[in-house]
Amino acid sequence: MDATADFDDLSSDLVDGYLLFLRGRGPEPDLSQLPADQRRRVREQFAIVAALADRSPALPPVEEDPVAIRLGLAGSDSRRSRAGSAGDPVQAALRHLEERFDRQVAVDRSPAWATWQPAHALVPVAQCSALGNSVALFSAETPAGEPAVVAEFLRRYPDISAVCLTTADARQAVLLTAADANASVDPARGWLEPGVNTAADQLEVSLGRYFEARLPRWERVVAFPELIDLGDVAADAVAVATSTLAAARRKRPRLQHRREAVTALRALDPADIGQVLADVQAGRLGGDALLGRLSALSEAIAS
Amino acid sequence: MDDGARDLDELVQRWQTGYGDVRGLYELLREGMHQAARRGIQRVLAKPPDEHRVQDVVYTAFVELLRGDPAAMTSPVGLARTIAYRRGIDEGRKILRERQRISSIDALDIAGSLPDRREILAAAEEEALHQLVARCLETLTTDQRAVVRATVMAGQTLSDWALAAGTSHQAVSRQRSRALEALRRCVNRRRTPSPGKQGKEASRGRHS
Repeated sequence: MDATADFDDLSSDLVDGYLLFLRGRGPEPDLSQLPADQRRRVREQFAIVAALADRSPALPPVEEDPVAIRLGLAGSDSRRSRAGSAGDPVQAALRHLEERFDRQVAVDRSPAWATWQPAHALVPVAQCSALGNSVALFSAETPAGEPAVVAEFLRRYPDISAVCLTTADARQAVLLTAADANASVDPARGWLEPGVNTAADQLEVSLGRYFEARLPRWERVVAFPELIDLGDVAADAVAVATSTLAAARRKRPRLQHRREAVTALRALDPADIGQVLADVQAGRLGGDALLGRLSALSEAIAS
Repeated sequence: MDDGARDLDELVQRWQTGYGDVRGLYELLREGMHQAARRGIQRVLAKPPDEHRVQDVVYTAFVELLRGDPAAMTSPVGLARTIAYRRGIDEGRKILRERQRISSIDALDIAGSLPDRREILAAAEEEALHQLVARCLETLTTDQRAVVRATVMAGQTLSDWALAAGTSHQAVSRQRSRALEALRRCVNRRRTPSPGKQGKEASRGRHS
């Protein structure tokens, strides 16, 4: 093996180590043992690797980029760029939420519970609903500090799944479910105060993440009919039955009853087994009828 | 400086002087921001992140970038990547906290600390290097480019790639090493134009 091949192997191992380091799975490789020239070359390769690593998956064209659409820079809303637009930021976030989920999330700006008068300064804004999940949105000065009020609201309105409290600029929003709004027990730390596990995010991120986790992703199962539609399996079923029978017939058992069973198998036509498989796959055969057919086949070859 | 880097510089300058177009800026920054966000989340979770989380981080980071004063920014490109990286780390910690039900929000929140100038410049330099490397990638052979894309840019291991390509791990490993070495040389050539070329450019400048 020549020196170039040796260096190729060494640098490849180091690059693997460096990729693990970049991805939080290992320490930074130690280059101190390398001669100065090789160290410089490997460092330059590391810089290239760092610039390239994790650039995949490739981004879609900007018109279809989900972030550009949420920023109002692409899609149907691109003419009124939200990034630099004036107006109510909470309403802008709600409008973009509707668009992001292709109107699957309905926003009701005068919900039935809007008359509720809490002791704290919560201002009802809207209700966002999708497939049985309803989020009541309130505007609040300090979104993180009201879990007791939220718990009371959720007890009063059981149809509401969660409450989102946002600042007027939509920069800080906290989403609380009933579990978050009440005290809970942690096996290691005992009782936890309400709301300890919630963190503030931008309003659109908080609401978007909630619905993202709950709405079904139809695109992931869109190919399912193709997957289960296997077409005509008759030929494959006969081929499998033939090879399985051939393997069974090749056996030379010592016990008498097994020898008789192998002899009986010689009378079995693979096409009959294939027909049974095809009928089961097509849904024409099952349950007692299937047992009856198999019994009839067994009796026919045993007689 | 090549065309990509020049476009980016011009756009950032226009934006800093108040004539920028936000969509154009996002278009040029988005790839680097997605990379930085992915890296930040991975740094904490040690596994490839969900792309929806990456998108949330890029969105938050870009809005945060736009809130700043463009004219006061040392390097908007570096700042965009740095914010995305830091918000990625925040996101990774948030995921950990959700998973492990850790309650100490303050201890995990690093959003308050301002990125320092060195970090921003290093991020800007990495983005500039990427512009160069992206062009150099086109000079590799098809096989070399494929192995770099799969095992460096995406998260595939050399063993997986070797299996898919029907070859040995060692052969693929050496192929990648040669590809990275070729990229290194190409980048160095483009960074330091040959003396002959420099001389020609200088004399052209004197005559114009």
